[in-house]
Amino acid sequence: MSSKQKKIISTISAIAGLIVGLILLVGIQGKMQALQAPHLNLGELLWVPDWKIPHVLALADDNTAADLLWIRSIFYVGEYHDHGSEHDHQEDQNEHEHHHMDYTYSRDKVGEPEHHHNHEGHHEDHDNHHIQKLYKHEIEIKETPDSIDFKNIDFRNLSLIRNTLAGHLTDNEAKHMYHLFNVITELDTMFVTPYYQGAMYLTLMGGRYKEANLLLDKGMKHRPDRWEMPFYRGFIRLFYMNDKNGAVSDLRIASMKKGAPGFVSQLATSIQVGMGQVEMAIEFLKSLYEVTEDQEMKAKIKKLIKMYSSK
Amino acid sequence: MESLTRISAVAQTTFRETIRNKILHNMLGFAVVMFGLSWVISAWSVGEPEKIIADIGLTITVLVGVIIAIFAGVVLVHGEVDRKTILPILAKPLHRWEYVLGKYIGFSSAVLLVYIGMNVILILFLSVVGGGVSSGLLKAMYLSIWEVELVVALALMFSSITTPWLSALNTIILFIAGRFSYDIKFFLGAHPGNAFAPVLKIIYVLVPNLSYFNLRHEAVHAIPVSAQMLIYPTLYGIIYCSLVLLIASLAFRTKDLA
Repeated sequence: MSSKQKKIISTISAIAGLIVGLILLVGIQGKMQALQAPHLNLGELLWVPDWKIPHVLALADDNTAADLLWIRSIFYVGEYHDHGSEHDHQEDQNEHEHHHMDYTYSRDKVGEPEHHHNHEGHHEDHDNHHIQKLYKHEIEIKETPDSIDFKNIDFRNLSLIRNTLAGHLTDNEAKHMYHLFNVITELDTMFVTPYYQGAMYLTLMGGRYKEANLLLDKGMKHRPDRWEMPFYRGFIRLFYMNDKNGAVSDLRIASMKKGAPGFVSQLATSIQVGMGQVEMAIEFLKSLYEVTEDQEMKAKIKKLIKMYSSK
Repeated sequence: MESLTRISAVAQTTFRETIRNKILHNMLGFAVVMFGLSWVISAWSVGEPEKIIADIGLTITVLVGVIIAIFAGVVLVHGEVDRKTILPILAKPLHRWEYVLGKYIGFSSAVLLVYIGMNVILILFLSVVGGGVSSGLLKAMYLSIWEVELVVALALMFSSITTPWLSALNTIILFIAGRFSYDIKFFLGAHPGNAFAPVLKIIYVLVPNLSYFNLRHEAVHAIPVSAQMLIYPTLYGIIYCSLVLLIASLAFRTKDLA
C-alpha cells in the first residue's frame, strides 16, 4: 500500500470517526435531555440577583445587560409556551384528566411552595388562592364554553379572556418574572418594551396585575412620552380591576401622547358612552390585537375576538 | 520637521505590521458574526429591535477595539525589544520618544481603521433593519473612539515598561476600573466620610474615566447630546493619552535594551 493510499484511508477513517462520534454525542444528549426534563426548573432560571451584578458583569454597559436579560425573559416565555403547546396537544387526547395534571406539573417545576408570615404575605396567600381558583374556573370553562353568558359578563371575572390568553404561570415563576423585569428596567430605565410587554406577560400569563401595574407605573414615570404604558394600564384596570373610570382616564392619557394610534381615544369614548359589555370587550381586544407584537399572544387574542363576535 | 519624518517612518511600519496581524482579522470577523447574532436576537425581542442591535453593536465595536488594543498593543514595544530588532532601529538617528510616539500613531491608526470598518458594518446592519442612523449614534461612535485610543495608549505604555502578560493584566485592570469610574464617584458622593474616601478620590482622578466616552444610552434612546458632552471628553482623551505617552517615553528612555 502506497503512502498516498494510507493517507486517504486514514483521512476517511478520521472523518468516519468524527461522524460516528457526533451521532453518539447527539444520541447521548437526547438521552440526557429526557432524563433532565422532569427536573427542569424554568422558573428559577429567571432569577437574577440584583441590577448591580449584571451592571458589573457587563462592565457598566447597562443597556446591553438589559437587552440580554430581556431576551432571556423572552426565551423563557417561549420555553413556557412550548411546554404549554405540548400540554395542549396532550389535552386533546385526554382532556379532563390532563387539566389536573397540567397544573400539577407547573407546580412541580418551581419546587416547594412559599410560606408567608407577614401581613403582606397574607395578601399574597389570598392572591395565590385566588389565582388557583381562577385556574380551576378556567378549566371548567374550557370544558363547557357554551355555558358562558356573554350578555352579562362581569369584568371582574372575565375568565374567558384569562383562559384564552393565560398560561399556567405559577406564583414563584410570576414572582421571578416580575423581579427580572424590574432588574431590566433598573438597568435601562428608558427601555420601553419590558414595561408594557412585561406587564402583559405578568397579567395574562400569571394574573399578577398588581405587579404589572407597578411595572407600568414605573414605565410612566421614566417614559412619560410613551402611550403604551397608560394604554396597558387601562386594559388592566378594565379587565382585572373592574375600574371603568380609571381605564377611561388612562386611555385619555394614552391618547394624548405622541404617536398614539387613533383607536385609543375612540376606545376611551366608547367606554365612556356606556356601550354593552361584550361590545366593549371586543373593541378593547381589537385594539389590543393591533398593538400586540408577540405572535402567539396575537393569535390568542384573534381567537378570542372571533369567539366574542360569534355570540 | 526631521523629527516628524522619523516619527512618520516608524508609524508607517507599525501600521503595516498591525494591519497584517491575525488578531485584527480574527476580531473583525468575530465582530461581524456578533452583529449578525445581534440581528437574530433582535428579531426575538418583541419590540425595539433596532435599539437592541445598536446597543449590542456599539458594545461589540468598543470591546473588539479594546481587545485588539490590549492583545496586539502589549507586544508592540516589548516584542521588538525581546527580538532585539529594536537595536538597529535605535542605532539610527532616532530619539526614543519619537519611536514611542511613532509606534502609538501607527498602531492607533490601524486600530482606528478597524474600528471605523466595524462601525460602517454596524450602520449597514441598522439600515437593513430600518433603524436608520441618527446623529446621536454617530456621536456615540465618535466618543467610543477615544475609549479605544486611550486603551491603546495604556497598552503601549505598559509594553514599554514590562512584559506582555503583566502589560495585558495592568491594561485590563485599568480598563475595568475606568469603566466603573462613575461608580467610584457615586460611592464617594454617597459615603463622603468613608475611611477609604481619600484613596478612592486619588483612584478616581488617576484611572481613565471611560464613562465620559459612553454616549450609547443617549444614542439608542435619542436623548439630545450637547456640544460640551463631545468637546470635554475629547479634550480629556487628548490630555490623558498625551500624559500616558509621556510616561511611556520617560520609562522607555531609561530602559536597558541590552
